[in-house]
Amino acid sequence: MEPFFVYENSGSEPRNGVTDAALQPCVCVADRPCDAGSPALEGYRPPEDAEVVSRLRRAGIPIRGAVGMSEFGFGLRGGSAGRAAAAGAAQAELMLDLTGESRAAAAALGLWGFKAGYGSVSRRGLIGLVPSMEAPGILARNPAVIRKVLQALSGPDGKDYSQPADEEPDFVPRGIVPDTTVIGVVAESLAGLSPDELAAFRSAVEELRRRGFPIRELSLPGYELFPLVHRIAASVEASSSAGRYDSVRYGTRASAGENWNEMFLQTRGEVFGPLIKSLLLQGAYFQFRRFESYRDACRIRSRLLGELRALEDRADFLLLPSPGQAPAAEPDDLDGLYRRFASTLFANVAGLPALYLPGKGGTGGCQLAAPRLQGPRLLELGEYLDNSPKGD
Amino acid sequence: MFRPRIGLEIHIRLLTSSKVFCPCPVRYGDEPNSLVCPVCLGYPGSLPVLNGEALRMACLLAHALNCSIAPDLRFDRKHYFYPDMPKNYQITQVSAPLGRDGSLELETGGGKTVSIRQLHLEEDAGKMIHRGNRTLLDYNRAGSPLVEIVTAPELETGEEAELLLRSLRRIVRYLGVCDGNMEEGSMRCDANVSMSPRGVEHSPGAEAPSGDPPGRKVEIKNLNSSRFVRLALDYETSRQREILRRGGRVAGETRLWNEAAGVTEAMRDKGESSDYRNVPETDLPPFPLDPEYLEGVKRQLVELPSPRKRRLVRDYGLSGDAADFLTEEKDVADFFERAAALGADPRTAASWLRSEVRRILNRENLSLGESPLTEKRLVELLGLVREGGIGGGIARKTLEEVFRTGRDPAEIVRERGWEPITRRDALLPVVEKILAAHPKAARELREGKDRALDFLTGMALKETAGRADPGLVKALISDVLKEGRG
Repeated sequence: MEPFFVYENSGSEPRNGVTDAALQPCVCVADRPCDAGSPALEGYRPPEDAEVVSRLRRAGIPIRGAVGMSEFGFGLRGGSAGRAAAAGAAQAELMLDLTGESRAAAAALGLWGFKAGYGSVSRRGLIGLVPSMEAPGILARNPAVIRKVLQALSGPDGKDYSQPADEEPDFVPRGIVPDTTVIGVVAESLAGLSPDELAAFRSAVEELRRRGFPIRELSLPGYELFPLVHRIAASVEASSSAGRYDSVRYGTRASAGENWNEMFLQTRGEVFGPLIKSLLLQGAYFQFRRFESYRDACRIRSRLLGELRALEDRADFLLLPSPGQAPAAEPDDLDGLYRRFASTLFANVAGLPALYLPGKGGTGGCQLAAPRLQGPRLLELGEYLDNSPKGD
Repeated sequence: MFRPRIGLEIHIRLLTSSKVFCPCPVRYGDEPNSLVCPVCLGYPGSLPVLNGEALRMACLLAHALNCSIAPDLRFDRKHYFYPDMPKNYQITQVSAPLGRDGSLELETGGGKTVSIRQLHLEEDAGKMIHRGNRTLLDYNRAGSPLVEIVTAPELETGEEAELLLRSLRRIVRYLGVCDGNMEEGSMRCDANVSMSPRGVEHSPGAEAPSGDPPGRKVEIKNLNSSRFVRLALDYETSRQREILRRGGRVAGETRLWNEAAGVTEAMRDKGESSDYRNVPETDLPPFPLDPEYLEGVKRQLVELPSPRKRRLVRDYGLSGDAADFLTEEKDVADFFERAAALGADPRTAASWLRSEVRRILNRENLSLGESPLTEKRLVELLGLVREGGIGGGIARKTLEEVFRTGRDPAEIVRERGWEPITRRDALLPVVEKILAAHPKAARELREGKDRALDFLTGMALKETAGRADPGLVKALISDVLKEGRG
């Protein structure tokens, strides 16, 4: 069997029942290899633990460093996301979700996959590219484990300003009463699904209805703009954030070059793979040649957030299509990537917590999303659906 | 025919103990790269955390410059690839500054007030050191807090620009937010200069005149003292005026001040325009500035140099020059006012501070706060002069001894035996001796030449090392001469 881990730490006696957590190599652990899947960070060993690692240690959960990941966690090509959890080598797996990677990996492996809401878990020490859109993702074989891990990780650390300073997460179970829990379906989210995908989604809706959840059809006319907003705003953020990978202080440095300027150019030309290069070039293009488009994307984004907030009064949770089965090869071009993550990037743009529920008995699975700080509640719903027998 | 329009961009290095987005100390002269951490080195996964002290100082300065303060604190990223900038972007607030629409009164120069366009917080870069064909980097300075202040182009001469910098220097020192030292880079200044035809007024904030502007805006860098600012701007305005007078056009460019040659020189063109396309700093999402917090900061404002100077003239009857001197440094003005409250005659105290005290402080390279001279000691010394009858020479010697020994003036005078000699029987032998030693002067005095009395009195003071009471000496000389003993 191929090795799942590059390092393991025994940890103390787990106090909340989670036996171990695999970490994708974008999660900084002091003095452990952490290259975020990029040659730009080959051999990089962070000086400090990420905040989530400190919290796992405090909760007594042993950590295991997973082998390899897609470059900077953008897309799933070349990565190992979820494999340790799927093989049972670790109970939970922690990664970063930029476009929907945790939910798509879960869907491909038949796991549960959760993306935390923006600001609910500290990002300090997580190597990403798109600060306003990425959030920690947790994969496991059942939602109860995800919920325990999330509980260990949640809450403000005071050093990540994306976190609301005064809101402690609420993990007290409220109980799920199907009759009064409204599930919203965004009509526009179904456009562009294949007949199979549509059928899978309809069966998920039917199952929820059978279990007594009221289903409400909602309209979000701007839904089709989510991919566009992600493509423009995320690429600009990524291009800006990746500026630090210049080989001056850490990482791989190109040997050629007459001066620092050439060193920058050569290094950056050599260390990024094709997908990241396209993303960064696209971001630089929007930033320096089509700045108005970037400004428009930001404006549209805030409008979409407003429209979404308005829907919160009409439904407790949103049901969204599954990211689908893994393609024969994960895309390494931007168009292919945005097709692959068409149904998941919505939660990244909006900062919502989102959960992938695997289908049972070969059915397709689906996604649920909740208002921004309602991740614990979303997982409570996940557990309810996991535990209550099908069609009772 | 043409009127210069000069604007300044001034960077103020804040006197915080730690950097603006991480807890590393702000210190200069340490071992290179010893004051660094993952945040100021731009390590992957690190996040900036705003230093509350830097925010307080920036808000205080914004209040002092009458700026309106933004309701939300926002940061953005200014992008340029340069190895001294660890993230290859600078966290700044160019697009949404902390303060806008402020003003700064020039302390002299007819009370002119210059508009402040914006004031914002940002981080400093590291330092690049070139050694042969190698480039070395020191990131100790990277992430140090700066406030950038941008004025409207309302200055017209190099002198006005120098005045503005001096006024600003006083203010930042009063507030304790910056030491104001331009030579050491605590205050850095870039200037922009353009010419507008006389009679054509622009609304504030307007760029070069529309249509076909005769003069484009020229940026001038490398101005590391207020004197260079004056010299460079005077040179540049006359250069541009001369081009326009001859019907030419001023190219929009960046020029450097060449100190040795006393001229500005065009910088090698970098090709790219200075368009950094700032984007929001998404690692530091906007957060509202609590009005109560801002009020609290406002209460920390101290009386600023200009109004204080006016008050010192009004309340203490000081000359403008004396008040100007006293208000140059806040601790001197504070010292003066405390001494006056303890009973010192204001004008005498001001004059001592301006002359003897300043001379010793300069010689010893001390500030008033660090020196052994307390306001109580100054009041005591002035009291010894006024009521105890000690002369100016003894008073100056006593002051020197206060600085040397850190003891009280009265104690020094007593121990050194410097009290004035006021008893007739003690002074009489001295006077007799002097008259005997200078028969010519004595004769002249008897003939009615008063100048001789001053000479003889001076000799008696010299004989007693300044301790003799001059009035008594004069009386004794007259008495002795009348009695025919001299």
